[in-house]
Amino acid sequence: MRAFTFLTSLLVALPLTLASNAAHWSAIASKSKDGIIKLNSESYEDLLALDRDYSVSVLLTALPPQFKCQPCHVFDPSFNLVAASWRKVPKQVRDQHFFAKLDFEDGQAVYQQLGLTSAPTLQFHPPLAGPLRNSNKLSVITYELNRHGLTAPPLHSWLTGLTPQPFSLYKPFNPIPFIVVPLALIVITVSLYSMRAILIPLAQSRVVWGTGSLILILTFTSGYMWNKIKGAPYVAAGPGGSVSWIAQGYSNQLGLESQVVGGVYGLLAFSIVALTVFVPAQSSPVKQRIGVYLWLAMLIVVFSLLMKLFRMKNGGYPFGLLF
Amino acid sequence: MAPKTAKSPSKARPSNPSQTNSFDTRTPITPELQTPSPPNGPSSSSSSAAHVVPSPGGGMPVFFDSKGNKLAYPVPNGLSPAAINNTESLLRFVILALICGAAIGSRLFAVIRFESVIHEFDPWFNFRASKVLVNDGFYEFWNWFDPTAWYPLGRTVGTTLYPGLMVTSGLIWHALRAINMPVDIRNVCVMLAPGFAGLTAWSTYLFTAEMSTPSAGLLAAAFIAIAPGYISRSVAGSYDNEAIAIFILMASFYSWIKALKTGSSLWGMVTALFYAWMVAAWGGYVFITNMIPLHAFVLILMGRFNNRLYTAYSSWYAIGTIASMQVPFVEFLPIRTSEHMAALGVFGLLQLIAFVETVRRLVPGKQFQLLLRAFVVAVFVVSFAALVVLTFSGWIAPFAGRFYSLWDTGYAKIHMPIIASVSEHQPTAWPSFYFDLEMLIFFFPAGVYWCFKELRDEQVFIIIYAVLSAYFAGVMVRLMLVITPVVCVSAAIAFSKLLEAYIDPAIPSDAADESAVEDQPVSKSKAKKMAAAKQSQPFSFTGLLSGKSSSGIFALDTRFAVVSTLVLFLFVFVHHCTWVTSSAYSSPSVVLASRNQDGSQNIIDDFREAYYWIRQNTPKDAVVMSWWDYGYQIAGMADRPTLVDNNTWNNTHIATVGKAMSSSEDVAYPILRQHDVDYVLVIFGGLLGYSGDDINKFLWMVRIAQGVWPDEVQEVNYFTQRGEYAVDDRATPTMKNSLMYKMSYYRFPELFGGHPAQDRVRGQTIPQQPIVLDTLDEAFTSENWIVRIYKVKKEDAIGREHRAVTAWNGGKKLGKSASASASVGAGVKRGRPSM
Repeated sequence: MRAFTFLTSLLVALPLTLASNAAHWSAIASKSKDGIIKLNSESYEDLLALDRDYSVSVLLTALPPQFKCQPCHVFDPSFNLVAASWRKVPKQVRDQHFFAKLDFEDGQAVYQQLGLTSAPTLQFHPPLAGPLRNSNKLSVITYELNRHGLTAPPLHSWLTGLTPQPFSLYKPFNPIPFIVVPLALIVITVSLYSMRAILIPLAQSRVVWGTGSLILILTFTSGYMWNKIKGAPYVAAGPGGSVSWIAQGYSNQLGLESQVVGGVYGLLAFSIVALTVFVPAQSSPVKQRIGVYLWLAMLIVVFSLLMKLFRMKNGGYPFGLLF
Repeated sequence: MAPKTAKSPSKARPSNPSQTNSFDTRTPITPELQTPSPPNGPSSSSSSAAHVVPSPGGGMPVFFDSKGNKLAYPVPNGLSPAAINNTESLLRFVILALICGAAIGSRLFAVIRFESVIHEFDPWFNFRASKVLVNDGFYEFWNWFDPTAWYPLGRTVGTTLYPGLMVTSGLIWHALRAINMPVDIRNVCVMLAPGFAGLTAWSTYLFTAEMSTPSAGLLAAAFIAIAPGYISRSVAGSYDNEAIAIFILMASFYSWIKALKTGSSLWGMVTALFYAWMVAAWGGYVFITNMIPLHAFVLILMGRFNNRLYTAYSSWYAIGTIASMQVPFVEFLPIRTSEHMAALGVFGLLQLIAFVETVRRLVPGKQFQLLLRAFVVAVFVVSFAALVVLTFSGWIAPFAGRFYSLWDTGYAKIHMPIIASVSEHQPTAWPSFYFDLEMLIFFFPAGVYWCFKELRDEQVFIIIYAVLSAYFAGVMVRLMLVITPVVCVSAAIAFSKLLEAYIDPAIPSDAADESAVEDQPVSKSKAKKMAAAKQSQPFSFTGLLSGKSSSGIFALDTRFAVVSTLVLFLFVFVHHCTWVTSSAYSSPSVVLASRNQDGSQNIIDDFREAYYWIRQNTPKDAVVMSWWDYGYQIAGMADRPTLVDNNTWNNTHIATVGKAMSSSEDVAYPILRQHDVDYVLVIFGGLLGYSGDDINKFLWMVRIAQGVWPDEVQEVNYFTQRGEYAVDDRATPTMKNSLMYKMSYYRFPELFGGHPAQDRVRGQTIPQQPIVLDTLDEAFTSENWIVRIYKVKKEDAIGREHRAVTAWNGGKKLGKSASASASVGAGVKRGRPSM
């Protein structure tokens, strides 16, 4: 891999006079796998010369393991796939847009110049000269990774609106799902059928459905979907290096926090059921009295704690029971 | 006695739980006792009268009822059943009336504090439409084309809105006029939501009484009357579809349960009519469209298909679908979209099963039955496949984005920034659940537990409703409204069970007592029957923990402890609800209130001030451009054409406005002129600290514009290098040159007279150098600077660039660079005019 990088940079460095010439870059691109031009700080400047009559998609990434850039490694195949798809368009159109990749290792100067502190970053540079130039457009368009994610289809749909000509995403045929999926279906069906003696009573069991429904209700009413959609961290670092499990703010929460709340709701609901069902079923008056006071104390104390927790989230809340 | 004798315990089949609970279906007139008051009239003559004996051990006296059962406290004896029943009916009526009063009263904070004013955004459009309805008549309203909205496109209002709300208030207005009470339509609109909240309490009572007991119904009615989750959408002045929709939702669910229990097609038709009203009133009708089929489907899976289900569902579906297709906005959607396919599929399935059941009854023979069963499965599979094929071939529309985004929660963020931009479409964090429901949120699972324990047909409905709405409410804050009724119903069931267990005066007989042993082998449903018959033991949990369990509370102190705790909880609940309603949900948002330092109230009326300024000072056809949030208000209060409004049907048009707001003047001015814009209105909260202003919404304008012009507007350009959204010195050039930034902060630092100009929303200091507006003139700024209105300059009379004019007026020499960049916008440079 290192040798390859070296070779590319040699190739780039030699014909400096040909810089910003589309045919020159086309030759380099066609030699590389996936049609991606490997850049360094100098060739970056050359490729993005101010008189370019072609557009460029540059991926600024940091692949070597010492940078520990997990998203870079996830995003890299997506970029390669889209770049490979571009190679399917006719030759004369293909030379109007190039895919290039600049690793942090080879282009720290570029990173500093752009003021980039994070990788990967994908930028689209429209043509600045020639027939494709459009005066009203931006000089550089950045792909929003946070919004679109790291997969190939959104990247392709974003890029296909910017390239000189729309292109379709080429996916290499993968026969494995066509074998695995039916096989798995058959295996699951057979195993379900063979275990029907156990499964049918389970599927008809009121306890199973009841427990499942109650767990679902408790999960949803304690804000699980918020965590999932907003990607809330499980715990956060509190002041002084401690671990805090309560998020600041009324419309904010942490993973552990919502689990605790779900548990509190479950405990309170169980106390109510215990007071209604279990305690009256007790035939010894003394035990019953103990049971009533225990569960009642549980109900009051946990409810008070819940109110206290809510007061921590919403400072202006005026109510509380014990605490 | 009719329902009782018709289904006596001996005749009832315990295997069918829906029949065993006939005592729940009784209307209040039937002479049985609902509450566990022990005396049983006719039989009391045969037994000894109640008397008191001192207990042998302790000092506490022991009471007996007329049958010799031990009681914890004395109860009046010898009352006739009719008297008890009449008292109960009267009490129920009075309590319900008081609950309705509380429901209405707790929603009046806004009217008392401010005045009878329409709130927020959408209600302004509904109000305007209602005025058209009552002033111009129904047909004018039906065919209404509004040329002032979505200028220059216009909007065919009649076919793009749910008319139910306006028609409802129009009918009320006409009814009041008919009895010689001429009420202003505005007051009808303002008071509609509280009025319907009272009706919601009543329908919730009926619904819960079907599920459990009438006393649980009363609790549920009280809960829903004051639960903040519902009040948030139904305070006086909140004249929106949800105001009447929740009543219709509960009424149609009640009539569905009624239809299911009685198997009467009349009740099925009532359900269908409520459903049609719902379709006419609110887009959330899809919830009913899927809830009822799902209930029917689950009942079929549970093996509870019967003719009552068939009659109820078929009559509801047939009439309801045809009725719903009369609404112009809905039309053929019920047969063309995926949201409605579940209802159609279950309808077909029911026909099949009914057919097969009939054939099976008539034709014996095991093979034939097997064949039939295979036939049902085959038809089901084939029709499902046909549905899939039709969907993929485009004949049936797939799920609309709004509904699809409920399942695929990341969908809206990428594909529909307009939907994702609305704050009420965000997911719900746990404090919101607690804030809106307080203690109900943990009584709710307990109530669901009770539904599982009894699991009658109608209780299956509650369970499905509970699980589904819990999910929906978690995904979208707005759908807290949908979960609130079922939480109230379910919590009321749990609450009343708990209360009844500790109020019931009967003391369980000793463990050795034969009655306890006798109850044991009897199945649960039968035991319930017997308990109902005996009137003394409403709950019998035999064999729960051990063979020797009793049911009931022995001591008086434990009863007192539990009941007083529950009463305390209720008190806290009432205070919580009042506090939440008063502090969070009663702001009209058109009029703001703040507290002065001495605690007195300060009314901030900038919006109406500015809208009336437009109304009084601009020509009737002046086009006002603003972000879409304010479109309805401008149309309603200022009565001027707008480019975009809250009916977000045309994404490109909204993106055009977003592009104009987020671009520099050079780019924006041609857009403004092309759309005949005369005035631009921005909301600015920086002076007062009003956080809902346009600078805070600005990123959504950028995002929506970027969705249409990705190569001209870029969100990252509005962030600093470090990824901050800044408006001070760090702000990017793109940000500082954007029309929105310039209009918001134009002349803002002058207010501070040399001191740092502090933006009180963002907490940042605005740069001192003056902002120059070339193409706009400041026309009006409201008292607290919340609304700022700019007049768009016409093209210069002698053809100069606006920038050149500004420079000329400023007495400056137009530098080389300035003149060069001025020519970028539009064509020919003319140089200095020779004046």
